[in-house]
Amino acid sequence: MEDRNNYWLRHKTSRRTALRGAAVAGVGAGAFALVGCGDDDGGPEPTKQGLLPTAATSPTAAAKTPKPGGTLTVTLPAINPVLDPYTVTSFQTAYVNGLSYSKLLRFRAGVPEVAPADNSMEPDLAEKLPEQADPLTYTFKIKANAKFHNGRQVTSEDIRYAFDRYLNFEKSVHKTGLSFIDKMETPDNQTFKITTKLPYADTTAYLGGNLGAWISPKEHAESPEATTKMLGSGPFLHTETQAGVSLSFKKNPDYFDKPYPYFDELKMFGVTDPAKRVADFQSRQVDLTWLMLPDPRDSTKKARPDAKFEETQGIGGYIYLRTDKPPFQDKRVRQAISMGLNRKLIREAISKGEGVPDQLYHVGYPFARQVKDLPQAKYWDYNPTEAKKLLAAALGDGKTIDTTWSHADITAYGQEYLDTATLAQNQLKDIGINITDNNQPYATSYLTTTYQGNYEGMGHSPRAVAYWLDYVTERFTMKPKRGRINLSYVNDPKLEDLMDKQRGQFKLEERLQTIKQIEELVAEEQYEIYFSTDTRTYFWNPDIQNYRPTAWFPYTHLMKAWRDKA
Amino acid sequence: MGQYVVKRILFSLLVLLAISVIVFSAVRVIPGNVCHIVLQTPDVTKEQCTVIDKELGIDQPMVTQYFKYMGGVLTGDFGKSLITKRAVGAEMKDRIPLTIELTLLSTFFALVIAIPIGVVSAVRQDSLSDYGLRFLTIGWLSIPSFWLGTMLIVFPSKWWHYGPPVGYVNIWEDPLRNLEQLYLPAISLGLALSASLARVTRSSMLEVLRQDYIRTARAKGLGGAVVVVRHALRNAMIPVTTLFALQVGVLFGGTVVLESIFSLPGLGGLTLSAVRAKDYSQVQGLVLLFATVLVVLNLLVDLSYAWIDPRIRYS
Repeated sequence: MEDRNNYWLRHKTSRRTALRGAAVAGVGAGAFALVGCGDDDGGPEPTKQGLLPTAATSPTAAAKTPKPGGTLTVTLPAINPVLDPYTVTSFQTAYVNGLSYSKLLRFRAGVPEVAPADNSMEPDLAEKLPEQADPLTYTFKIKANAKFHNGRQVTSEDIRYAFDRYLNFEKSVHKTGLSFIDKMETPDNQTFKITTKLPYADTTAYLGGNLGAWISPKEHAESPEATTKMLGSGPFLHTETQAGVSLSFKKNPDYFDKPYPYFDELKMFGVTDPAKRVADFQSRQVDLTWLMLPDPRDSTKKARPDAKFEETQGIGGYIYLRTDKPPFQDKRVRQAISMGLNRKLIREAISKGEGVPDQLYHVGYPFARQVKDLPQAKYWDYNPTEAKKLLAAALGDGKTIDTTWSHADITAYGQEYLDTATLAQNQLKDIGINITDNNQPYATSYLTTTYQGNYEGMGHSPRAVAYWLDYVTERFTMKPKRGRINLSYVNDPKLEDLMDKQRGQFKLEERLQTIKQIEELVAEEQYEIYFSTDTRTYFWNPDIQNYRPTAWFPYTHLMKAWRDKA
Repeated sequence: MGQYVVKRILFSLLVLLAISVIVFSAVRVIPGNVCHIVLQTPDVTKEQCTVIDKELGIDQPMVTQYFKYMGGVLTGDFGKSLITKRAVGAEMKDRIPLTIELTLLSTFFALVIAIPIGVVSAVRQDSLSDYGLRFLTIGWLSIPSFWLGTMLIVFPSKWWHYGPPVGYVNIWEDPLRNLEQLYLPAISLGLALSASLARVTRSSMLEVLRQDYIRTARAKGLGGAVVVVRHALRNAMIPVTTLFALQVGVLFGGTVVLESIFSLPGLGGLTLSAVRAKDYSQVQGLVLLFATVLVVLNLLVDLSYAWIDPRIRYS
């Protein structure tokens, strides 16, 4: 069952299908691997080592006859005031962009029969997955019945315009990501052809993903309303915004993909206070809510034994360090830090002991090797004695390290993120690393300094969830300049060679062999030091059918859900 | 009297001017880069930042920026939000009604609770009910409104699966639903205010109840309720009114946290999100608005003193 839901494992042989499947899913705060799903009110199962869910435990309502109509209400942790896909990368924007905008391709996940972390895609504006004449060329046929919400037909020129704006608009934040594009052509109204500079195995993944992929028409994209209003060709018309509080949508009667959407109306509420999010669901004010930690999850299960839920693996956090400077340029110091962390204790304090204990840079992918299977697994064991020995070997007997640990304040990532930092700092003190905490305001300081790589010593952030395999390059490259999130200043020629190699490998099996070498190298070097993940739970009302959470951001899949009124 | 009024108004304008300078400078010395805020990503180029700086006029000297900004404010133009690009004035205008409604509701709850407690406590001085009520009011004073608000959300949903309707409906659209959405935050805000008002009402009433004219009223054979309500309470209300006027400003400030907790689209929630997002222009506009409200309230209190007490008028 698991294999059937996994694109990578389902399509092992064909180069073209591998290419198509190389696509995939969302960066961010989404949580992912399913560990339990259903509507039982028993205690939660402990998080399993396996990262992907099993479809055997999925809701099975898809076979029922859909009942169109009604209103769906959803709570999100926040509603981003900026909704323009060209100028923001926020995952909060991607949630709602998916309701009103379309892309060439979209994720399949979000329905009961597809696992939440399945990163495979299906056609959206494109009639089918792209034709590929050679390793550099991708041809998409655009659906003839696709119309923007202003009534104008979507043409290949609109697609070209959108990608051109992503690449060249001075305020676009997607220029780097799409830099693999060499040229774009529109031989006719329904054909869009894209040529890449080099063979790039993640081309379709990027073109169908969340970053720089939404198609917003010129007349809207260049209007002053583009920041706060959405006008695309997606399943729902954006009708009203109550800034910071709610977004309202109505069914798009001219949506190109019939019979979707089923709901007549959709309301998304931004509720920043976690206690209110829980209370709103417990008091049946909303249909869907998400990302509950174990304590509120258990309370909600008790209060709403009827509710359906899906437990997922949270994304966890990681430590980055200045590996270009002493003392962290010595890998023994980095290994000591990893062995000085008591991840179990942190998990118990934050997530009732739940979560996947050991993590590498990929979270949740079915092909990502388990840490326990790596030759370097011992670096994840809590072993303060060995950690002290490594530090003594690197620094000299009796020497300690005085350093700083920079991180964002509570506003962005929540209390559990701060608690993790506090606990880890205390644990590292025990092995001789004395840390000065640098708690930075998220918007005014952290984003513009630490998250830019302007920090000293150590830093700490949640990990991003990548939907394309090559995300690894952004983490570790120095070519032609430091990767966007190479916060550890990794400069490793051997690693660079491996990253270059996997980018051009279209056969998944071959690419995964290279990825394995990268995993082992990164594990040995401990360029980044990873915490365990926690457990996050999605809840929804039992009468909502054909819905399942996804690891990826866009809420496009809500168009396939409906309410069983019977 | 006329001279006194003019003096107070001029002084208030001076205060507002000083506030505008402080606010304008403060938001500009906070570390951080505006173009990261505008684009909401740290991944920006120098060229992108140059374009944005020019567009916002922040490439000009600070003094020029200030005069341009104040020129706009005087004509009702507070600039545009860095984040949403909407006019700051329009954004505030949309949200003012909710905050005023919440403040009025809180005031209503505060008065309804405070006055009877203060009166009963004074009339039954040193009795068991007096002690009990004083204990209660001290308790309320020490409960932060955000904590009370959270408790009012959490426990009803836990015990009775009850929660106020999510989102916000305008009072003209659906008054009942609107009240259901606002009464919990209004109670949270109003309770702390009611505690201080009740204590002032009590002490003021005690003072008045010892006056000769109260004794005379009783001696004339007037009933207890008439003496308390008609003769004592009316006179005891003068310090209460003063405190109340000053506390309305505090209520206004209290909405910042409570609107966020209850996800209400008022000025408070806007302030918090603008501060978090470092939306300079929005923060400037909001602080100026809050400051103006406080200054005007203070001015009115000052003027009412002069009206009430001729000694101030002639000093």
